[in-house]
Amino acid sequence: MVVDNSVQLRRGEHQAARQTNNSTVMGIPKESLEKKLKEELETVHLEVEDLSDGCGAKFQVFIVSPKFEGVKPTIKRHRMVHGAIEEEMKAIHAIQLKTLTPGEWEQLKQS
Amino acid sequence: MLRAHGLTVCRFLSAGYASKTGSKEYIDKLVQNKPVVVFMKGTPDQPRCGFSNAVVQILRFHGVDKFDSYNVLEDEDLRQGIKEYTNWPTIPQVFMDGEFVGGCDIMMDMHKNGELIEELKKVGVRSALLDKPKEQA
Repeated sequence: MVVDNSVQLRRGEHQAARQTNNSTVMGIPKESLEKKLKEELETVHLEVEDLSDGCGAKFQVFIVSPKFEGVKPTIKRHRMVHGAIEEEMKAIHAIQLKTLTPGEWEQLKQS
Repeated sequence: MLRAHGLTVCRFLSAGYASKTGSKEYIDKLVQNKPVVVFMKGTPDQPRCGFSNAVVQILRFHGVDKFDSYNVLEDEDLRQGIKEYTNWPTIPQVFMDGEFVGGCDIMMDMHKNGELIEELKKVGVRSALLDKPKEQA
């Protein structure tokens, strides 16, 4: 009985380990990316699209944030985004970014 | 004796080479004093990634056909090294006169808003778009 238990426990541990491994290989769920970006960049509008066919490693992201105000050129805004999702970026293969301030977004909607 | 010696030499060479292509010093030399350098997946004639291809096409659209390009798929050390060098997580990466300009999105933005023509001018390259008839440009 005791032996059986320990074997089961070990199996459980293995399974848990395998699942964690899988989740890193499987990439980032869209929801966790959204949550992180919302929190870190205080977005007023956010569209995250998973272009990876489910593997979670390729995203298209449209971010409107007041934090981009006065930040130029675009490369600096992109660096802010990379910084906000630094951990996730390790598992992400490609990310397409569009980064606007609320003012720029208004202009875009009107044009 | 001979065998052991050979092994040491071999190890020394491969270790030296491996740390070289990803090092800051090595990449400095690749990008400095060059108008345009692209680190990409595949080659300009056979890109292995849509984003790398887009960067090549944008450059060609501006008449930039000759530029140094490095295929990171053939060199894992360079692939990691370039990301650390620029603190930029993705490939492709474009440099002008030693300075990191950006990846695909930024090149596309600069192409659309006209900045690319200006940036090319700064490194002594005249964009072919300037010589096209207005309705095409």
